[in-house]
Amino acid sequence: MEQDQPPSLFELSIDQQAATTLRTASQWGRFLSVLGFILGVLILIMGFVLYNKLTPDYRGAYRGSPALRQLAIRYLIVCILLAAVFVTGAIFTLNFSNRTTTALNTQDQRLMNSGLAAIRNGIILWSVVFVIFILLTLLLFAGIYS
Amino acid sequence: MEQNQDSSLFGLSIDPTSKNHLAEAAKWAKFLAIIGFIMCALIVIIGIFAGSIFATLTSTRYNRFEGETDVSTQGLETAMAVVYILIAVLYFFPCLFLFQFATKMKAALFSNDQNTLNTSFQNLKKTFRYVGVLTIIVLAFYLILLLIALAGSSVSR
Repeated sequence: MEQDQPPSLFELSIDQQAATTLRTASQWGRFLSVLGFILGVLILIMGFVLYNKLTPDYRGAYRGSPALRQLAIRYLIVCILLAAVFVTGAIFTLNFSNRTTTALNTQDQRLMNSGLAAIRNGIILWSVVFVIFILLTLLLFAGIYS
Repeated sequence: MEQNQDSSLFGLSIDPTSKNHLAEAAKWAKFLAIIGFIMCALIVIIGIFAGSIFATLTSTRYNRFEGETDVSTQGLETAMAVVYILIAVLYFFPCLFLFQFATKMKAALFSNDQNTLNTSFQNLKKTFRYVGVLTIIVLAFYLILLLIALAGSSVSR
């Protein structure tokens, strides 16, 4: 196991200060991940509620129109995608928090590496999401001003 | 230097695997922070031009109320500008912390400097803490709004 390989005296290590910092980061990470799960579920519920309101339950002038049904489906898809992003992000953050805390408690190098990989994955996920968000915003503005 | 302090022979280390993960995390974190800075700038620009954007939207949709729209949306335009700029300011700090995490991590891995590594982890912690505290404040704000709305609806009955 990687755990048993002693680090060289001159390489970087998780010293007392780094361990304390990572422990606090893990606590906040756990809190954020719980919020992420709740937000994901709320977005999903909101999506399904609005989908139901816009389709058979809708009593307005556009009742039964295909355009309204398409709008409802698009809205639901956006909500499902958003919920998936939040839940996936929360899973990565929770993995980082749990694995890092356990690694610090048990001095398990493999778990520490796994925790660091989880935070890397979380950062990659949000980077990709933000790029897509910026592109969509720019497209929206192009649409408004064209 | 702290490089040789507190690192027991059998403690956790930054081995080649963790170095790879941290280097890649730093690379993406720098990218995410730069995107964040760009978004802050975009939000400020949107805030500044919120008036004209809003005017464009209202003039195309409500042009039958000519003249009236300018008067009724003036206050709203200013409020929108202030809110957007406030959002940009609030969003700037986590990006700054993330950027510092990334740059310090790269430097630490390059120079094998324990102090810089610790500072980098501190910036990661600051990012999480900032986002956590901000989320608590936003949730509290929403809760207050909900209570006000509930109180308002019960009074109006």
